[in-house]
Amino acid sequence: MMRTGLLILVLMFAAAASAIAMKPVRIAPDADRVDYESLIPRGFGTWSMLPADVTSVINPQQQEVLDRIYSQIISRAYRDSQTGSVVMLAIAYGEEQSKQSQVHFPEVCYPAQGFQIAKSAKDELTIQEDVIPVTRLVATLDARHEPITYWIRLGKRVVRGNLEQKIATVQEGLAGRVSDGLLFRVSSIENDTAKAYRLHDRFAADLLQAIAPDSRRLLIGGEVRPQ
Amino acid sequence: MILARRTGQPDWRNRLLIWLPVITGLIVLYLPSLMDLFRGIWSTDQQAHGPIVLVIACWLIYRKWPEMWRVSEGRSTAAAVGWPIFIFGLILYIIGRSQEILIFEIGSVIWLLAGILLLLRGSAALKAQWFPLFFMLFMIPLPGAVVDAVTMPMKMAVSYVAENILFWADYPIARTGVILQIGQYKLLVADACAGLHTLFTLEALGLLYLNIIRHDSLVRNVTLAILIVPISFTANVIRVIVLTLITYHFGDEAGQGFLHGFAGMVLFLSALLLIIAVDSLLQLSIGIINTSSRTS
Repeated sequence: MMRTGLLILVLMFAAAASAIAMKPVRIAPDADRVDYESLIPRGFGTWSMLPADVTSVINPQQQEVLDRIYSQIISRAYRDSQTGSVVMLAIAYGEEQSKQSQVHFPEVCYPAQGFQIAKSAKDELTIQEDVIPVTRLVATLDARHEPITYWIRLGKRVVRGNLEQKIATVQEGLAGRVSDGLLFRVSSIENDTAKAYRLHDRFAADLLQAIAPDSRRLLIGGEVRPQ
Repeated sequence: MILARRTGQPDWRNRLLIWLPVITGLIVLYLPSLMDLFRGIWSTDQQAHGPIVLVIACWLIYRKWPEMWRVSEGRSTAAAVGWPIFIFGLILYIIGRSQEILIFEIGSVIWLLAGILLLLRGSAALKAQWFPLFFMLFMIPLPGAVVDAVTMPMKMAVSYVAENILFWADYPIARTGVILQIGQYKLLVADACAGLHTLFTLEALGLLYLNIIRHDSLVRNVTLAILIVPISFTANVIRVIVLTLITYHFGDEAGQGFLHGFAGMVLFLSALLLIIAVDSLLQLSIGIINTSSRTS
């Protein structure tokens, strides 16, 4: 009986120690910090950036959450000179993807502001040789009908859905790493959902082709290929 | 008297020697987890029932301790089952603690305790303590994915029902998603009103009530446990309606001020009354069925 008790104690100590030892550590050095603001061009192809929208309402509580989760947020609107359509681009980057500070899904952010998510579907976006698993949403608020296309990069891969995000975080974590995360979201106010998605696809393709392949990896993941 | 003390003393010391390593181990494993919980998720509105469940579970184990000791006295221990369960609990703990998977980290305590009971006192002891261990399930924080997936539909349903009842009662009410508009006021139905947290607290309290009352009828126990789900929904609808009406009649400040806390009390009172009413109804109907089957 005594021996059993002591063995239990030793095993519990060992478990406590290994849990501490297996905690992943952040390795991303601040030296190669990327400035996403300058990475994304202000004009490319037929697209040009619109002056910042200064009328947006500031919600202090929301701002606090955003500052805690993301280290960089880009929010811009671009106009297409061909069709005159406007798309909104949001990129949110978080250095450390852990439970408390992981990239939030638009499925959560939009309803938090009173929107309803009318539709949600999985899709794939093919840009040159890259296939990006994206999610398509339609958010509505009163008469506003806003189709959304987004993807989330976690470390070197794009994850779709909460569970995939968690699994990827844990896989990286078990390997002792804390990866970074990035949300790439394109949306437009447009009643024709299919047309909006085609616009989003073209915008994303034009943008990715306008930036260097190395920088492209920062947006859609994958290995950096030797030149 | 003297005799009792003589035999009692070494026995008491023996017991302590057996349990001291277990208690030390549990403190080393779970004190950091508890501190994280209190600093994090347990300090939020949604999971505030966690500490209550923990305290009640400890009390339940303590209450059952003498009985457990008595029934397991002289029985053989179950090392063959105990070790795998214990080791599994430890693995869950290691993965959960290092990778921040709370459902593993906190869930592991149930496996560990079950394994330890089997190893030190045998299966009779585990059988005696099954309810406290089961009760600890309510202490495990729900994974964020589940909360996110369930909260929104529940909020929608609560706002939908509240709107329809108030509309039927001739109030000037309209709804967009989870935003209720009554008169000149716009109310956003918050996450807390979804009732996930209330559901958990009520289900835990309901089971506790059933365990302490010790109903003899299994049907009544199970039915009541299931009925707590719609009861908690109803209680949440009542809370939203009460808050909406307070805002409408007494203004925004009243709705957000001390009367907000009052609405929380209304929630628990109405839930409690509903549980007692349903329980009495069940008792009555089971009684009727029993007498009619006896006469026929």
